[in-house]
Amino acid sequence: MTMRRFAQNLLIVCAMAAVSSFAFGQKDPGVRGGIQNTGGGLQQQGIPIPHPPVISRNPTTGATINENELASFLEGILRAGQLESSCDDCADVTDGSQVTGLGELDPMFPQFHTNSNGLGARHNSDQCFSCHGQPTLGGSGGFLVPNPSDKTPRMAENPQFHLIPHRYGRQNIVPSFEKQYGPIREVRFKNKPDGTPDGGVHQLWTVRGSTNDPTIPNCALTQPDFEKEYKAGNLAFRIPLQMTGLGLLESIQDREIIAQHDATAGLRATLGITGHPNRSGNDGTITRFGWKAQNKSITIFAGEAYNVEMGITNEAFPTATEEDPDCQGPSKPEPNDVVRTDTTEIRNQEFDNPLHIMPDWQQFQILMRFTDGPTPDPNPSESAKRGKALFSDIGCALCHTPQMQTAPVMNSAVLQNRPVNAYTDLMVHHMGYKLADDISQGQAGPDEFRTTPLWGVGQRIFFMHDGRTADLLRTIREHHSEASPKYPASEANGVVHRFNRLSAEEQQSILDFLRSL
Amino acid sequence: MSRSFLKSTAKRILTSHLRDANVRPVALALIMVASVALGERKPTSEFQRTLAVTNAEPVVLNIEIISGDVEVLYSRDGQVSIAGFAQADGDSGLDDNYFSASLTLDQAGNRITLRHSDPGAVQGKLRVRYRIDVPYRTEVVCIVNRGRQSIRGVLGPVTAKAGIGDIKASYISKGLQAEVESGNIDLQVIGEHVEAGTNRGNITGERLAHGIDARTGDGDVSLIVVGPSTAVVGKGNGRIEVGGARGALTCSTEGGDLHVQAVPHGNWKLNSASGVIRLDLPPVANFDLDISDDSGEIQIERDDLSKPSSDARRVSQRVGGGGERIEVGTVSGRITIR
Repeated sequence: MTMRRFAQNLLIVCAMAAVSSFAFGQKDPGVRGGIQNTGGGLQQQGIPIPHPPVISRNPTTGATINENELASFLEGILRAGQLESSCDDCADVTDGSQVTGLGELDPMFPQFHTNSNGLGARHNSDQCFSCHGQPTLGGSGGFLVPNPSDKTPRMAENPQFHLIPHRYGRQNIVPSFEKQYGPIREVRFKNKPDGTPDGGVHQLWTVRGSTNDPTIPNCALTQPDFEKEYKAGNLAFRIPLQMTGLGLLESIQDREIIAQHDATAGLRATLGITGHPNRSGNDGTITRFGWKAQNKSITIFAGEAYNVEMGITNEAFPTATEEDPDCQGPSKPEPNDVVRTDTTEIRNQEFDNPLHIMPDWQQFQILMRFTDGPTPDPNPSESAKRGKALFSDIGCALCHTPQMQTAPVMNSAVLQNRPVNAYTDLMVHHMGYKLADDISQGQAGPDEFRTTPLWGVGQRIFFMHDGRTADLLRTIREHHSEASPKYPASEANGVVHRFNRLSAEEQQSILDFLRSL
Repeated sequence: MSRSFLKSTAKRILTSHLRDANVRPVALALIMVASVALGERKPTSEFQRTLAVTNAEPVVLNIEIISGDVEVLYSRDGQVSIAGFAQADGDSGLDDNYFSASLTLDQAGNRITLRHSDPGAVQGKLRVRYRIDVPYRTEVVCIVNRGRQSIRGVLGPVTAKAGIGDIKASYISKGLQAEVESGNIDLQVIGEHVEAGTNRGNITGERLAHGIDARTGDGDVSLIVVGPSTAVVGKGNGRIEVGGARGALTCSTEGGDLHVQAVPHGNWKLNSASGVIRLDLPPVANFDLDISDDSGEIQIERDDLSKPSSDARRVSQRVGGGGERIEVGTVSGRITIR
């Protein structure tokens, strides 16, 4: 066959494939509303990213968020939006202030003026919402404009590609796994150099070179050799989960989780789905936050995130991950972010008032508690409605439990006794070698993951724990994994087989349904 | 069980059994218990509407209410949700058509106007309350003749005016103007400069980074952690209390006390005609102090300041290396520096 004939045939094959894909092929419709109209896509157009939604009226009781809860929620937005400087008193504006009159797009989410202090010598980010901004602040990982102080914004991109590693002149080398339009990734090392298990987060960035901290001129920290570890297959990635609705998930009692699980035991058995809770080693109750359901509460999560993601020590995690005195500043107190009890204005950084006594990390957990769950499409298509039924019919709902109920009596009236449509059983399941990340957390083994809540999946950009894909169809198929010498087969195999046997139109309906969530 | 059924049952008891002397006490007791249980439920009327708005530009919300309470608060983007609730005190003629007769709601894109006029038939006989859930990017102009206002969690700017009633605002990112004839003003966490004035009432402000001009004809002023600010009490014994002034500060009272506890970050001018002025400054501080006192008393309780003679009418001293200028003056009051 001549090259010309080959090229002609190839063209025909490609054209046929394109036509058949158009006519019959199922396709992820993409982020609901479009990436350009959510998260950083809005920022790129000069529109601030929407703030986290306040928890909605309790559909069972009619209770709404009360005045004190709302005040704490609003304060929480302010704290979670703070841009952190690394020393103890060199923020551009008074700690905890909104940044107004200085050209910031959103006074509550400044991008080039710091309004807080405490960034650790090693960190993954310098601001909560940098990694939780899709589709709204408080959401999952998305994109941000990389040049926020310039008049002409560039296209929104992964903030780990340029914005965070280089903000305020910081001299960080961006590892190759942080792609410009890829997912925000944090890194765990599977093993230590001696071959024993590691499993911990290794923070991406250092404060070396910071132009806004005169107290650390001699900081010479270097980053771990991520490229070497990457090539050696020693990295496990995690992408940011959404914070929205976490108060509702926390309000579900263990007995509800177990009852829902037991109710599907027969059906699950026919498909080889088991699942089990990850339980606290302290009190034996079910832990439920994080990719492996490793965190007990959003308070623990908040404390851990402040220290691990931003290097900000606090009452829950009081020890710095990096204690190099050349990079922590001579006057920076440890732990850094604590309940303020100073009585004078000199040492208390404007905390001389009741509203500001609570530390940032605590306000952050209150914010998470009273942020509403993601709102599904109020007008789903007919295809999406069919997909909802199919989703249950083929067994997806056996793990992605559509609804659970919060505790009947709680301190907060808006949280108690209400349905939670999170599409998760809050259990961990064996997912096979293809997804296994070789990291164990609590009772979640190296190939086990929590059933990811699907609420909000309609407006997420990246999927799976490592953000390996932005395509929901591939995401479904990644649930399938045969047994390997190291790991059993994925518990989802039976359901994925059923999905694969559906017609293209039916598969499309499931994709449409998922994007309606 | 309907109210009409209960009413007719009660009427039957009254007309038939009360004639019987034996039954009368029991029936009367039952009626009393029933009427308490029924609680003389007051007539109510409700209104609910949700309007779609875009993210592309701010929402501009104009509110004009003759009489009623208004709560504007951030809830979520993409919609403005308006809930109205009216409750009558007695036989007011309030019915389900109340809001359709009294409320005008206009929307032109993201510009929303709500006007509530009180129909004469029920004026003064009912309580009206509005809760308006808005996106963060909302500008608010709210004018209430008689009633309370609460505005929370919006970008702003916010203008709130009232005849009689309190104004509360918190977590406003842009500027705020609050004016009331008679009522208190309570402000927390405002991103830009604030102007607050009341003829009769107190003004409180916390975390006003860009400061406040607070003026009350007759009332107290309390400020905590504020930028460059002015606080004036026009007459009477209203007090001024400032903790954590972050910039220039000008305060004056007539007969009320004036207390400032802060690190000097700007020049201060503190005056009271006849009240007590007390300054609590950090143990170590740099400033230039200028005190004048026509007929009152000056007390210095700091080691880094020399004590004036008992008849001293003016004290000028440099403390530390000198710095911000603190001027304190009174006609007949007492001045204490700590």
